[in-house]
Amino acid sequence: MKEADKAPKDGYIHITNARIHNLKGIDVSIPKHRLTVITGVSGSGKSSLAFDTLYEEGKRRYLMFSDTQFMIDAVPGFDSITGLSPTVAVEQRIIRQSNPRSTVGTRVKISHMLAALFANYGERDPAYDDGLPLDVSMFQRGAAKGMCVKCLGKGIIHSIDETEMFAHREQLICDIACGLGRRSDTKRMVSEFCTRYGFDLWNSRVGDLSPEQLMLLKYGDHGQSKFPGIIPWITMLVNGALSTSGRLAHILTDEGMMDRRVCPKCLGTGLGEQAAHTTFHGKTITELENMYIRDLYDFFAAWDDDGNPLLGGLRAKLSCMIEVGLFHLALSRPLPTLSGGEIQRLFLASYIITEMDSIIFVFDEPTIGLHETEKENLIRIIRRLVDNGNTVVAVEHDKNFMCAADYIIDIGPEAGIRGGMKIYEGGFPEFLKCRDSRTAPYLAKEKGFPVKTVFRPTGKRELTLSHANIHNLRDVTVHLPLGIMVGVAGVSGSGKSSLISDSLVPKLKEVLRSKCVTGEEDRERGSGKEEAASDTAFPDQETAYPSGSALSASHSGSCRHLPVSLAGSEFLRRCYVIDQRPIGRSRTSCPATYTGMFDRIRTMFAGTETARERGWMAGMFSVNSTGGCPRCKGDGVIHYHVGFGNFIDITCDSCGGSGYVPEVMDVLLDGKNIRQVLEMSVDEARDFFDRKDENICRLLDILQRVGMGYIRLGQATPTISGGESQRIKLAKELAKGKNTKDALYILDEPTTGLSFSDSERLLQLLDELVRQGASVLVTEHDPYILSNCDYLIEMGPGGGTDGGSVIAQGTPAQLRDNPDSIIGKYLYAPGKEGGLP
Amino acid sequence: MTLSEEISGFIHQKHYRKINSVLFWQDGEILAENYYNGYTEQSRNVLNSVVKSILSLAAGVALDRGLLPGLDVAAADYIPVLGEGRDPLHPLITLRHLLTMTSGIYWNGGIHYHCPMMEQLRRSRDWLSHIADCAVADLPGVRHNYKEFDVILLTAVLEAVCGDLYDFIDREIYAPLGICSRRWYKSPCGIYYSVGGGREEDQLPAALTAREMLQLGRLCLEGGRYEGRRIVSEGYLREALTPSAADSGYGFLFWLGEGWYACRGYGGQRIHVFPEKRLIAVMQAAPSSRGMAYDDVIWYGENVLCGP
Repeated sequence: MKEADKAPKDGYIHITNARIHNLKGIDVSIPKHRLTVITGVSGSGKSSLAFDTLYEEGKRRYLMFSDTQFMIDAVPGFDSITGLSPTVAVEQRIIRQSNPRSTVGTRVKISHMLAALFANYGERDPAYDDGLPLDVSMFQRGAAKGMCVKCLGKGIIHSIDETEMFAHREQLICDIACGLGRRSDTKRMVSEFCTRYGFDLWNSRVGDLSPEQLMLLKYGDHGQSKFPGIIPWITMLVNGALSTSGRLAHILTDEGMMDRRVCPKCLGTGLGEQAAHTTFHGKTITELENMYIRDLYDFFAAWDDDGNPLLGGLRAKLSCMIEVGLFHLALSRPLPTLSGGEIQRLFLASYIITEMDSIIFVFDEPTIGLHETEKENLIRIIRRLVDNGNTVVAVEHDKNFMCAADYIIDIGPEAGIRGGMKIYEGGFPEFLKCRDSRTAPYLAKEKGFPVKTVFRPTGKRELTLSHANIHNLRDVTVHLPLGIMVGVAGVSGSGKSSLISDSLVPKLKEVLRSKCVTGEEDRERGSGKEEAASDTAFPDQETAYPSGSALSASHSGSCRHLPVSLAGSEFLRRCYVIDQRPIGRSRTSCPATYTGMFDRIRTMFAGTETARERGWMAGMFSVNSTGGCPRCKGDGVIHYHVGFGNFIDITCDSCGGSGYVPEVMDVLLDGKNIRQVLEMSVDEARDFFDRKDENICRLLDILQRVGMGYIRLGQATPTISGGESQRIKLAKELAKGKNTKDALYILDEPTTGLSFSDSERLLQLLDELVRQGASVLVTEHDPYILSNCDYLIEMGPGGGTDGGSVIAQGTPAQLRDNPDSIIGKYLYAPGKEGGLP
Repeated sequence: MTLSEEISGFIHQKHYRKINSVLFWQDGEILAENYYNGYTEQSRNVLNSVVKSILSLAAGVALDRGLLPGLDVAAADYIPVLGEGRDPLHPLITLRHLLTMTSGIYWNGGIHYHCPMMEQLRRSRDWLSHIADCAVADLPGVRHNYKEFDVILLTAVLEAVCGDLYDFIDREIYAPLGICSRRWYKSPCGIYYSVGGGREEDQLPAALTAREMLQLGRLCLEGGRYEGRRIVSEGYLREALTPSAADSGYGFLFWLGEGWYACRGYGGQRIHVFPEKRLIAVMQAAPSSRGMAYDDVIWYGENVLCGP
């Protein structure tokens, strides 16, 4: 109350002395019922102000007010905040929505409405109508009553190719199924079994066995021995309750001994018989969930309500999704396959649906992943939120978005300890004149982007991808020139990802095998226990849903296509697919562990005098090993469940939040303990390790070059955005050495979350790769990056069913003059160098 | 106060309004025989899962007769859909696994009798085919998971070797014990299983009187003999009442405890045998939607009779 009395009631939210993370005790005032943009270079403290201060406090007060939660305050990161109302964050960090079963439809609850529609108004196939009433849960594959009993709602099953597995007669028994008999958990059991039936695990070959012995080996002896037979054992390891990791399935699939296929019982729908034979105007619920949202809206618009209240509700929800630009998704799309921008707009849609006012919305770069034409639409929607009486605060780099803002707050001047100050606060026109800002000069066109004028010619070396038909692709054949930088453009849902991630990459993987590095190997074959343990915590997203397969079947099932093929891969020695998936999946993974530099750091600590005296090895300096605090398991905090699915985190009192057993903190490397080293930003660490370790410094240099100078070495994976993960992965690959010649780097929207100056640095880095003989392929919306490619391929013209074709290709200059190109008119003209259009 | 009065007092005090009958028998003598809610000696009450134990006895008879070669025979030998290779683990499922609820087939319990897996099964046209389509979640024989699927498969195995399963049970078990049941519910696809139907009326034909349930208890207590006549071998019964490898509280479709074994059905149907005390308690009740159990009535009576 006291605080509120003092507060000026002037229509502003006043934050005083904000000091969380790197913020340097700043005061800001955010106008209510207005659109405010917080900008600044990456790592300057924008998010600390918007999310960690404003949003966290707004949420905390609202929850306390509504009595749904009690909170124990950590040290507050500010002196006071006045003028707050309930606060909602619309974020894009994908890891927070980590339930792999969530789909677009379940997230916005349209799937529930559809299920209710089918249960109440569905038309039943008389052959399957048992006269009993239908039930909503029979149309939900997450429900036991509704799920297909064979695949348990997953829509796909793994099956073993027995013929392939036992094909080689020269194969030793212990080598069958990629060395199943050599596995530590299996070998004793199998060895006993082999001895019992007169052959030897280590020396007998498949061809030596009698047909009876082979049958026994394959299918066991009906429980007389502990070993159940190779086929049942693998089935258990891969599918059943004993299933410990996706690793075996992955290896066997790679070797062609295991198949992932559409469940033959439900044909991929994941639902039971009743759901498969109940229709609404001729369509099953699965067919509707696989339609693009825009087509689904048209479908429902075609029918009279006829006293059916559900149809109006469905149309209202669907129209919101279309409005935020998600028309190209299907309700069945799993959430983990969405881009960060799409997830954010999905949340936005659910807020628009509720039509509240006086809410404070905090957005994290809402324009990410949007084509220039789509940004205008999004700005209109966000303005409408403001016009309806809400307050919107957005962390954003986009120029047009800032133009549309009422108020700008610039944090900087640089990242990490060199940032955290308020550089500017006020209207947009005055902002352009702000001398101290790193952003304003770009906006005011004083500092220009270099725009490429000379494009590298396309040579003879090229990849030819033919007959790509997955998802909405229309039998696309493209030539991707090598040795240069190629950009793939197109509106959301036009087929960029279908072409690159879902057609080209699988083909490259097939041909280059282990020479094609995608994020998956790191997960599946990653370095040891950490990964294996986390596998169980996060069920494998890859296997959870037949991502898009049902979609493509329903979409293009009517006509026969030639299979997709790839020519020209002989020009490539390696391929790096650098996506936005999280780095590592364990709670304790961080940039230091992911890049491998942590191993060296630990070794350095183990080499100190104190550590040697006490006989401590490198493991003492890892929270996952002997050095971890036994109470909090290295987290530094303890999670308490406080009811209703809410948790609070309390700093662990045994380790004081370090995550280590306390005595480890006594070991100092040049005056810093291990925790303090992990708290360093890359920039700080670069100074600290200078002349201490060449390898670490090289890694840190590259991290700086990809714009990650501000990230802390020990920053926890869940707080790292998709764009940041991607750049850390890129740095890791680049640091590995000189394999760039004849390598292909495939990047998906690499500038996500980067400020203007950081984008420029990243672009230089990519250009350098090409100079060293590599090829770069980027999927991008940013006109600046696209203008600096040597060659562009544009997909379109629209999204979903309106897309799927190549509408233009050529140099950026050619696209600018191409009337078929949509992105062309947004590209930078080299003549008018110096700023944004 | 007589035992009857003490039990009635206990039930009254506990407000157990759904109990229809309680019967205590010890060493050849009925010590208490209480009926409530208008029930009499002739009244029949549903059995629910008590039927499972009766099917176990039937399996014993079939083994005794040599109709089945042994407990470790593959279920697929009698159920062709399990031999179609729909799941690589199917060939491993044996008669023993069915009797101990360890087939490994996926099951999601929900609330018993309203359970989602049964609802899907009942809506399918061919129950055996439906079960054969279900995921196998555990290696057969490893994990005890109480479920109807295993019993349904057992009825199919028995039906394959015994002829009409109800006729077999009626002839081999009920007739010698003087039990008059009606023909059990049979699913449209030919499964004889009173629990299978799901509706109250499907259960009714299999209903028994309290005294008939007592006869079943006596058969077990006497090691498979009834009034001098051998019904099922002592060897089978001993094995059926021995804790299974996967669960110490369960034998072959019999529940096992410290000093007792029991046939138990949803909603309070009980035949509890205390072999060392030569004591049998029978209880029948109208099943409530909450699935109430009234075992404390049995412990109370046992305590009154035999002391703590």
